[in-house]
Amino acid sequence: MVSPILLIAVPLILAFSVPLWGLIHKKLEKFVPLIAFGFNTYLIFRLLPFALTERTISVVIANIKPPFGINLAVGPFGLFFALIIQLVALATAFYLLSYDPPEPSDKFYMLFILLVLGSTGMVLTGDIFNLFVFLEITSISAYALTAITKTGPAAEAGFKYLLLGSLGSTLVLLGIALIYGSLGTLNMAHIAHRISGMDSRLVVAAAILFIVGFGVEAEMLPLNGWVPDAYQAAPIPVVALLSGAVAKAGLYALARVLYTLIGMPNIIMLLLTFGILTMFAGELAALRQNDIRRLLAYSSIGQMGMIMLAFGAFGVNSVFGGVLQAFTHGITKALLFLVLGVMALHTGGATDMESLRGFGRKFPYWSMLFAVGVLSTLGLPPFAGFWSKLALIIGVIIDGHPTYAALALIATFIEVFYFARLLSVIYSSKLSPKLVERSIRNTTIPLLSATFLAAIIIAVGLYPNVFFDLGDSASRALLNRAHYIFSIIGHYLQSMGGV
Amino acid sequence: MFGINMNPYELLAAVFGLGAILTYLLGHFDRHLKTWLTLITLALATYIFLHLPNEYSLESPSLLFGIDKLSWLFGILTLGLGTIVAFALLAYPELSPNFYFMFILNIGASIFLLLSRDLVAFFLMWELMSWTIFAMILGDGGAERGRAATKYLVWSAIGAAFILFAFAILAKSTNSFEWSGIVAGISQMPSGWRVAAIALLIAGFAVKAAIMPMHTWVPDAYAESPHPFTAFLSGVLSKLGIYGIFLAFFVLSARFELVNMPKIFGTHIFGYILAWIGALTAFGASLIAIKQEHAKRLLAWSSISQLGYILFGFGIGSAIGIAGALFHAVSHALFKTLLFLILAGVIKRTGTDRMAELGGLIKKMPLSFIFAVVGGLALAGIPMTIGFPSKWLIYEAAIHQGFIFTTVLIFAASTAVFLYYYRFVFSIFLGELHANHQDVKEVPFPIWFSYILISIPIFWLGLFPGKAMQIFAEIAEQFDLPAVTNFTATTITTPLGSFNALIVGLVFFASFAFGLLLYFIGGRTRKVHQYDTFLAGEADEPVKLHYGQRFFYFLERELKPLYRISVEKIYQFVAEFTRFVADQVRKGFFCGNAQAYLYYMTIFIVILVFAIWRIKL
Amino acid sequence: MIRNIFALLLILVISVFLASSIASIPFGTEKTTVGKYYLDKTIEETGSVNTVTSVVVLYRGFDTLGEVTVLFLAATGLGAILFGLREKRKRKKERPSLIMRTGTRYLFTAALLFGAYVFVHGHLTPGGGFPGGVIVATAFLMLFLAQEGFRVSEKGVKFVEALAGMTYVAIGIAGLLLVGSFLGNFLGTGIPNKLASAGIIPLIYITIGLKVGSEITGLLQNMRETTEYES
Repeated sequence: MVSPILLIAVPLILAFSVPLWGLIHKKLEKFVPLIAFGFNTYLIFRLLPFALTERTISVVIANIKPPFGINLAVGPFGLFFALIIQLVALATAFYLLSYDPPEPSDKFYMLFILLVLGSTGMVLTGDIFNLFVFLEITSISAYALTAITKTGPAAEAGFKYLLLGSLGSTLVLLGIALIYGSLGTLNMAHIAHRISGMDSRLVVAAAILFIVGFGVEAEMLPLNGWVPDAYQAAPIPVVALLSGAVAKAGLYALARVLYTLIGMPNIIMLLLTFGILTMFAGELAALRQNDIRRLLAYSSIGQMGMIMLAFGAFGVNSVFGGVLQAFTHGITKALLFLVLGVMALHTGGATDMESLRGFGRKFPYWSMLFAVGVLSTLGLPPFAGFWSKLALIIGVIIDGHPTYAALALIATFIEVFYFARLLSVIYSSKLSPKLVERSIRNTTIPLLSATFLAAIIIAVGLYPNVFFDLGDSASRALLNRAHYIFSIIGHYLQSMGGV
Repeated sequence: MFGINMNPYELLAAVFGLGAILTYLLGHFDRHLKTWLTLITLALATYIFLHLPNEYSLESPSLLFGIDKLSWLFGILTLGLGTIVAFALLAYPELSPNFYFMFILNIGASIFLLLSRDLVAFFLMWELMSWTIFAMILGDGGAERGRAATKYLVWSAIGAAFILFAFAILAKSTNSFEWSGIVAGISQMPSGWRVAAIALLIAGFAVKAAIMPMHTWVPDAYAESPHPFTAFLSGVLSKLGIYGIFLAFFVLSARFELVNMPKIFGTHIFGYILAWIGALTAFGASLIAIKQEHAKRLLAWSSISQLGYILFGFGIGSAIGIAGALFHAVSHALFKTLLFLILAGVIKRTGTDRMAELGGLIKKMPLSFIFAVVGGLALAGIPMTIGFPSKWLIYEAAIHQGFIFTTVLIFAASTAVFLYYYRFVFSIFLGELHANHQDVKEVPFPIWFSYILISIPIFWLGLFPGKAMQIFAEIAEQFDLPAVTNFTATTITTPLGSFNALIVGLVFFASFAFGLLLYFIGGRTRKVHQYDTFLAGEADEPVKLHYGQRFFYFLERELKPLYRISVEKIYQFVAEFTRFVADQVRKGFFCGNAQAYLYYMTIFIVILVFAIWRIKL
Repeated sequence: MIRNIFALLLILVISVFLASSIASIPFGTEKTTVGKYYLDKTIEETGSVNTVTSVVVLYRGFDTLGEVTVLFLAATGLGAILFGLREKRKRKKERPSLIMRTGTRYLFTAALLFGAYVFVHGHLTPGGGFPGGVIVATAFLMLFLAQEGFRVSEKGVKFVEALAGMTYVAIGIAGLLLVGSFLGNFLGTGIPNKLASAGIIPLIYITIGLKVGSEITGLLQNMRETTEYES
């Protein structure tokens, strides 16, 4: 009964049930996300040993076998991303327990659960239209959650996100239409099997549409204009999810489509260029940023660029690095945003650097958590970020793209600069006048939530072997197209007379 | 060991790890507890270090460690000086437990760095060592400290990036992540990649070793870091960069003998280039040291200069050169730590390191003065002290190899040492005592005791250099390098000549003692009060006539054109340019205008269409 | 002006790109494996005579669940953002005429019944859960427009919406437990053309109908309440 479909079904039923809890007692609503993602995390850990076996199983839905029915393609690559999403969701859901949601609260919690559910669905599905549906679920929740505080900037940010996002989704849909029109099937494995029979210019056309479409969610240049505004206006737990879960899901979709469906190395290597451009744009923009929220947003863009670059290198070692970095970045950024959220409680909501000057003097434990996040982002031991960055850079070089690796390293110099400056402001001897001793809300629960994430970072940093095994399985799975096709529709192909 | 059934390497790691955590947690309870815990940790670590078996490999993640003579030498230096500095820290109870945590982690990382035998372990320890320094420089915060620490970390990242890139190239070409595998496979590498990798490595390590042009973080970082820590930073941690350069230049590249390229004066061209860089660093830095007004910065530039000497010795690459460089590494570690500790003591008592505001402290801090003289003798390379054999060997190596211009630079740098060193001693200890400093006392016991501890090897190795030569010869033999073998406990012999350190030292001591004797018994001197001066009515009496400001103004005036050359300007330009581009990106690209973003998307599609789809009508 | 021309050029390029791509799709050839399979097997595998229904609910049922969620999201999102928003309009509202007021009261029941008919018979006649739900919502819309001060209970809407959604997923989970596959048909196919046939399809359509109906009704009410008229 440990079926991966429950990763989607259980949160969905819980999401629908939120108003019912609210009818009993309003305070009960906030526990629902925690129950949903607690269950999901438990289920993911039950499924993890399977992720180490490098097999992909197809979870058939509606009892109709692929390619005629929809299926989930649960393999190491998908499970790894699902793990990232569930961990971030769990920490954030726990954080929500002490968070005052914007009204109407029941809708907020429903949207919250569905945002994660959409991302999870995106990384687990084996059907391309299903991927689109989950993309829609994720995007629409994201738009609504960005604008949910209903302030002017929030509405504007939500609108920009909506504009770019819906255009992106439309392009994805067009791409799907092109593929279905030519191949007559929507199952990803089946498409992968048949795509060589498709006119290559059509394939390229579809690839373009997918790159632009999924690139919006994956924060790729030049489609990421919505990111700084959205990250600044959305509520903190939402931002943690956007960076930790949604962007990863978008990246997953991009990788899956390009590697498994389209499979053209030339197109995949385009990601090298876009990745490095995204990275530079993100890091440079962060350099001049004084507001920490926006700084972290730009840093997020930069890191996504680096991960994209790794995926662009099209080799086992670089994808290995990319997958590991996706994990580290998701957890680390979530940690940074959650801690920032608590920091803001002590300054009356301000998140600019000057308001938080000297925070480290008064709140050593919170600053330590923040420092853990920063040091992990910079790739310093003994934190998880060290291993992932090391694997990524070495992987890209080994797979034959040393120039891009060198450029990525140059971009990290900028990152070191502004993060070092940030740390020196936080640990400054001067105290900002805005800092207050007591915060508006109780901070024990966010403390536990942030400690959970920091503990993961440190644990992975000190004992990375399991992490390496998972990443290795995942990267091999992504590159092993034939195995994917065979696992999902092998029986069908055999019944049609030979593969 | 200790009856614990654990691998000594794991035990060492556990000692450092637990030591750091316990010191941090318990350090809040008592002012001195944290220092004592640090000392205990370091003592235990030293004991284990001295008894480490040869090899060890860790399972998860797979890392390889081992110990050899070179690691042993630098390790003893690190642990020894670290313990002495930690002892001096007893006089600084105001340092937070945070600092001690980072300090122990740093030493632990440094030791394991020296013990690393595979690339991943090495890089891991290197990075851990690097960021703990950042945390220690940052210390209690403050605008200038923040700037210095940030500058340090960025430079450190640049160095680390070079090292990482080089490691990746080496690993890829030789298909191995272990030192032994890389050393074995390096001759198979295509020479272009090989040279690039090793050059990158040297450049990366040069950041830590403060070699020009990677040195610009040093003056600020040294000036702003907590004062006793600067002693450790300059004395020990810069040597880790030297360790790295040694590995890259001698072990990996076998002094580039592997590559068929020309030799100059019997030295491979790369060695020649390194020697030039070292000589220029030595000369340039010592010139800049002359015009410093702050004592800490003066010593910082002096450090850069001395590290240049070491690189120079490596560059020459002959037996004497290598031995001299290694010897100088040891001697610089010792005397620089001593000098910085003395300066730390002075700052502790007077609150400033601006030499124009100090003076006459010999009356109040005689012990510090004596040891400052000792340190100075070592710095200048006077016999009796460890500085003499090391400098002598380097000079011999240069002359023997036939390097003319660089030798001139090195000699000029040594002359400059006399100049700035004299300024250092005079401005602080001699001359007239400032009115504010009437109540200054001698430094507390932990500090002056550490002076004594460090001075012991300074004299011991100065009089009996053979002990050190023994180790250097073993190291050279281990790595198949030319070794100096003609030495005894007290004499060293080179093709150009020999000297007996004990005799020379005793002669110097005798003349010194003679002079002292004359001072005490001879001559009719009348002791006069400091402010009892006669100015022929030109100014109000009493007036302070201490010559402390812009000491070498006349020299600076003559050398003005030389002083205009500054690498820092290039870096400033790069930084300004980056900031400019960053502003353009932020305001120009991320302009917040939704329409613009849509334009970007459309243009992007069009670009992709043209680039990969290729319009065909 | 220049910007408009530039924009036009960009769009032109993209149009050429898309048009040319679509043109090279082999229309009119026998290429759809999946579509053909659905047409052939719908009665025997699902028991529903309406192929559209069987595709929507069974073969691509998971997508439909997703779409229901998307619709739910849109309504929820709208509700969340419009919450508490009150816009004042200066115009006087006209009172609906007598015909409207009386007529809608009777038409309401008819429309409701018709809507229910559409979504219950989804597997037999064209229509199904979505149109049926919309018809139900239209019934309420009529009342919103014609009856002054008519309000639907928010709690009621939420209750029905939530329950309907949960039932849908519960049916899916029941399928998982009973047949080993989420949304699997555990009721058998029945006799085609009878009302009680096609397994879980009518059940699902009923839940969809109720959900969509209550959702859109709530949505309309939300939007209506943001404008206040001067009376």
